[in-house]
Amino acid sequence: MLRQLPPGRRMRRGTATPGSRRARRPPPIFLLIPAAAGLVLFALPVVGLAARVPWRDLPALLTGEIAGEALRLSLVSSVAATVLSLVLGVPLAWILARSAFPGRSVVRGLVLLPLVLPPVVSGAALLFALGRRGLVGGFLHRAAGLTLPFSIWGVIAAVTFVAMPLMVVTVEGALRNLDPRFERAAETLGAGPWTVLRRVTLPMAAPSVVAGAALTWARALGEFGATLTFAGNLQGRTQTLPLAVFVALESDRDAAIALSLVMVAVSLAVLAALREHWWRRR
Amino acid sequence: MRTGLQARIAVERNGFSLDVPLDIPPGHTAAVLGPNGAGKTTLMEVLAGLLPIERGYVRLDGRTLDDPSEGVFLAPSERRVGVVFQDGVLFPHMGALENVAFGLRAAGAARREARRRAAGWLEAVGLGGGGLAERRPRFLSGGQAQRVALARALVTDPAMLLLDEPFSALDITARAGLRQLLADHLAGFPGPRLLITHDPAEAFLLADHFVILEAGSVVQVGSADDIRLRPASRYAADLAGVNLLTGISSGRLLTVEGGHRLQVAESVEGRVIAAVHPRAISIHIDRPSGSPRNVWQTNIRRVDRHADRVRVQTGGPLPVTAEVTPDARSALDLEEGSTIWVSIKATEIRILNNS
Repeated sequence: MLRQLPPGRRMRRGTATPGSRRARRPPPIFLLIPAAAGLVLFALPVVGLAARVPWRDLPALLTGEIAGEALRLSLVSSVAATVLSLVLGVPLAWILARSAFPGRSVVRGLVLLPLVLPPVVSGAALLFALGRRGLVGGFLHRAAGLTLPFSIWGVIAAVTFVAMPLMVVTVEGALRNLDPRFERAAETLGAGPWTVLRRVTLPMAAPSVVAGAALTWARALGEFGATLTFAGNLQGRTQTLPLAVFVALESDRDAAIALSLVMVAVSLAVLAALREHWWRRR
Repeated sequence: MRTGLQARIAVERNGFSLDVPLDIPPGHTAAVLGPNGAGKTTLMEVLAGLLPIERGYVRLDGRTLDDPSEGVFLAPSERRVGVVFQDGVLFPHMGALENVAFGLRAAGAARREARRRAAGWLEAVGLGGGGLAERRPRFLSGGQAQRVALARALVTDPAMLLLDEPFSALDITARAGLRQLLADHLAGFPGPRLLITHDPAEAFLLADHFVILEAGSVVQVGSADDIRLRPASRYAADLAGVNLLTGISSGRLLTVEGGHRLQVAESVEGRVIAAVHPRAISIHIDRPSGSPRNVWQTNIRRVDRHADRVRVQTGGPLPVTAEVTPDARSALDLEEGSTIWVSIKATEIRILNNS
C-alpha cells in the first residue's frame, strides 16, 4: 500500500518553485526565540547608551581638552597602525600565501597569536621585549634614545601588534583565492615580479586590502588592554579614546557616554563602508 | 636570426611524465592534438616558462630558454613567447585597451605611446571603435575577449606564439570569426606558432603539421596526409578521418565544391568549411528511407581494415570517408568497387566558418 503524504506536503508538490514557497514560511519557533534573545543582547547596550546621551551638552563634551586629545591620539595611532599593516602586513601575507618554506606554519601561528592572546598579555609581552629594561627596548633606549612605553610610539606599537593580524589574514586569503593564471599571463607579457605585483596582484586583491585596512583600523581604534599595559594611561600622551572612556566612567559619566557615542558612530561607519564594498563585489 | 623552435622536453609531475621532442621552423604552425590529460597544457607551460623541464632543452631562434644540463632557465618575462590562453585570461581590472597595452608598458613604453600602439592592434583584430577600448573583460563577448587576448600577445612582437585551446570557450559563430582572424594573423607572423587543441577540424584549418600527444608521449608527427593515410593510433585515426568539405552555403543548403548539394541544419550565408565525422556517415545497400535528407549513390574506392572498425572511402560525386564496424562490413559485403548508398543527417554536418 502507498504511504500517504501529509496533506500539506502533498499540496505543495508540483506547485510554485520550492524556494519561493519556503521563503514565505515563518521561521520555526525553536529558532526564532533564541535568535530574538541574541538580537536583544546585541541591541540593548546600544539602546542603553543612546538613551543616556546628553545630546544638549554633546558639543561641549566632545570639544573638551581630554576628549580632543584622546580623539587625536586615537586617530594618529590607528591610522599609523593601518599604514604599518599595509607596509609590513601585506608583504607578510604575500609570503605566507605564495612561498613554501620550512616553518611556515610557525610563522602563521606567530602572526595569528595576537588575535587570540588576551590584549593585556600582549601588552605585558611588549613590555618585556620593548620596555626600557626589555630585550630590545634597553638597546633601543641606549643606542637611539627611543623609549616606547609612555609615548605615542608605544601606543602605535601596541595597537599595530594587536590589529595587524587582521590585515595579514584578510589579504592572505585573497591572495590564495586569486587565480594564478592572471599573474602567469602577465609574466608571459614580459612583466617582472615587481610589475606583476604592482599592476596585477595588488589591483586584483585591492578589495580585500581595503577590507583588511578597514578591519585593522577599527581594531586599532578600539584597542584598550595592550595599550594600557604597554604604553600606560597618560592624558595627552598615551590616553586613547577607549582609555579616556574608562577613566571618564569613574569621574565624568556624561563625557564617557559622549566618547562612547563617537566610537559607536565610527564603528557603524566602518561597517557601512565594508558593506558597500562587499555589496559591489557580488 | 630566426631558426625556430627546437625542443626536447622531459618533465615529471605528480606521477605523470611528459617526453616530447618538438621542432617548429619559423613561419610554420604546429598543432598539438591529444585527448584530455595527454599533457598538452604541461607542454604549453614548459614552452611559456611557467614550468621548468627536468631533462632536455628548449631553444628558440638560437637562444637557450631552458636547459638543466647547462643550468639555464629563462623566466617567462624574458622568453618573448606570446601566449593566447584558454578563456583569454584578460586582466579583469583593466579595459580592453589597457590589457593590450600591458606588455608594452611592462617593456618600458610610455603610457601614451603604449595606448596608441595598443589601439592600432585592437583595430587590427577587428575591435576598433564601438567604445570597446575602455570596456572591462566581463563586458566583452567570448569572441571579443579572445581577439583582445590575441592582440595582447602579438603587440609585444614575440619570437613565438602559443595558442592554448583558443576556441574552447566560444560558440560556433564566434569560433568561425576568430578562426578566420587567426588564419590571417598567423600568416603574417614570422616566428614558430603552436596551436594546442583537441578539435581536429580547427587544427587542420590552421596548422601545417601535427603532433599527436597521448599520455605524455608523441604518438605521431606529420602532415595532415601522413595522419590521414597512416594513423598511428586509434585517437589519430579518429582525428584523421574527419571529412572537411568546402563550399558555398545559402540558407540551409550547402553547395560543395564540385557541385554536390547537402542539406545542413544551420542557416549560414557565404563560403564555408564544414566537418562531418566518419561515424556520422551511414552506408546502405538499398536506398534508405526516413529522415536523412542527404542521400546519394556511389561506389567504394578503398576499404581500410583496422582491428575494431573499417574505414570506407567512397568515390564521386562527393568523396567521403565513412566508418563502420567489421560486422557491418561483412553483413553489407563492402568491397572496393561495390555500389552503395551514402546518407548523412543534416544535423551531423558541422559548419566551421563562414569566411
